[in-house]
Amino acid sequence: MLKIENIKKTFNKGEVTEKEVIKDLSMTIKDGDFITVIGGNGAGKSTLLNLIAGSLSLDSGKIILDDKDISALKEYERAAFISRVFQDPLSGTCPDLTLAENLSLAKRRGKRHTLKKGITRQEKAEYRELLASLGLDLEGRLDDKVGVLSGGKRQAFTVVMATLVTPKLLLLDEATAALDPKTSKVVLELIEKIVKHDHITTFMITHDMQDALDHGDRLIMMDEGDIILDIAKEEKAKMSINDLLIHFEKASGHRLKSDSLLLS
Amino acid sequence: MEAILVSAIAQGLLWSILGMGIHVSYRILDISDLTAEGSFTLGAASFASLVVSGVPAALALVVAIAFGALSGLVTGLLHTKLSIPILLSSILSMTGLYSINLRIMGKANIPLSGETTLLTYIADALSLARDRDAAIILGIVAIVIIILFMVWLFNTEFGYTIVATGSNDKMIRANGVNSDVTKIAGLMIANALIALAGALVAQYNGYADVGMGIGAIVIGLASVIIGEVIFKRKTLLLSLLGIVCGSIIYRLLVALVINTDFISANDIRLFTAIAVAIAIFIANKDIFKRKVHKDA
Repeated sequence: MLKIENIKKTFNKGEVTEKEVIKDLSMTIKDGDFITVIGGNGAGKSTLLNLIAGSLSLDSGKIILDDKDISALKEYERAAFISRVFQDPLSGTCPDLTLAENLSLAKRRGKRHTLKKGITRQEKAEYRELLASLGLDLEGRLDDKVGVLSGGKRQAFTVVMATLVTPKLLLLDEATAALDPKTSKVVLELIEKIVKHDHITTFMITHDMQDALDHGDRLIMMDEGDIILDIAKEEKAKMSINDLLIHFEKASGHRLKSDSLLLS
Repeated sequence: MEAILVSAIAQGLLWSILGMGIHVSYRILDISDLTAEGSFTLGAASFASLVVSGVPAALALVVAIAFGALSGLVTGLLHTKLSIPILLSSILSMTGLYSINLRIMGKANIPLSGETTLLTYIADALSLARDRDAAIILGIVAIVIIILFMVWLFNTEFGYTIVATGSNDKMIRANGVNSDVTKIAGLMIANALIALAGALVAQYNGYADVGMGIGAIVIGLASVIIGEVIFKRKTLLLSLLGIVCGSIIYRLLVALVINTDFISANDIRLFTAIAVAIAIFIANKDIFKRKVHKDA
């Protein structure tokens, strides 16, 4: 269980460009929750995710994972239990290593990287089997460099890497936004499949309101650095995009700019 | 002509180790580490000082390598812990090393004539008349050992993290690796190799000189890039073999150029700089083509 307690983050403190991005935000994420997060540009979605992952440091407040305060841990230390998929398909993989070598890195996420052989024959067989079971048509390409994969394949592969060792928390930052609609659907389905199968607690930021309604079992809407709506599964199931927009106006007191959320 | 060829091979083999060090920082870590200019001399200076004070050559070589690694450590710490950009960090190391090298040597030049070095040892043991022949054997032994080491290292769990740090720092941290550590480790390996090259070249030249590192980066880059023009960058093994060929070709070019009437030995660094600029231009065009193909 992840508890976020009164966290705050301001960028460019003391300068003209000072911006309070996260304002005293608290929330609790239960084990197995699949949360979708929406909100306009600058609402603080990505900042919140970066604060949880540790790539940004908190100004104040606490982040507690399974009763352990992880606020002071560095990003690479938190990676032992938190894994991520970035928006840019190029960000999550190493292009100069082969698929098998990338998986080997992912398999040792949060563990010591020793001077032992990077991939054993047995591991390679496991990887081949895993990729075959996911139907991504990648099982024959274990010895190819990741750099030669297409963007969509690369992002799907990043999802596989991020979940190869089941994380306590999976953070998805607009993981499908850079992909074409068809590929985006494939990757989302892959995420859904793996998350359900391994019961991974997931935090998924999306620009797409329909995706936010279709996936996950809890929906959070952010505005100006805080959570303004928190919708549980049952209610979410009955909602349409229009309902979401009406809720947003009521909660935030202003209309959602048409360009700040992409409607599908 | 044969003499030119043999001497180019001998020098090319020894200098190729510098290229391998540059390959680790410039290609694998993808950073421009200028420490090389100082660490190359550091290797020569520490080796020569130890040998003239009676330390066995093999032990002196080990110390030279360790000092090189240490210089990489300093650059790495400046870069990661003090957040100084790598270019400046390495310039600071390089500048500091100039004084350190003078301290180690006590003077600007230490002749090795009459001392027992690895080169003279090999020449005596195999009763070779010329240093060049011994240098070729020494070079080949060193290169084989280094290639075996590198191919082994970069196929370990830890080796993967160094490669990944160079190509995607964000990804490697998201996978739980402290990329400060991998950067420092890479810089240590690079400069250990460069110092080793310095110590070997000092034996071939017959002296260590405080100015011998000037231009080391460009010379190392020349062999890396000529190697890439020949072999592309398919695997680490091919890259390393390419560097050896590139280094020999570079030495041949230098020898041919010096033998012309209008270019003197003093012009060599200008010649090298121009040659590297042209080679990088050609290589970039090639890389550009591949990228376009990849995206299509």
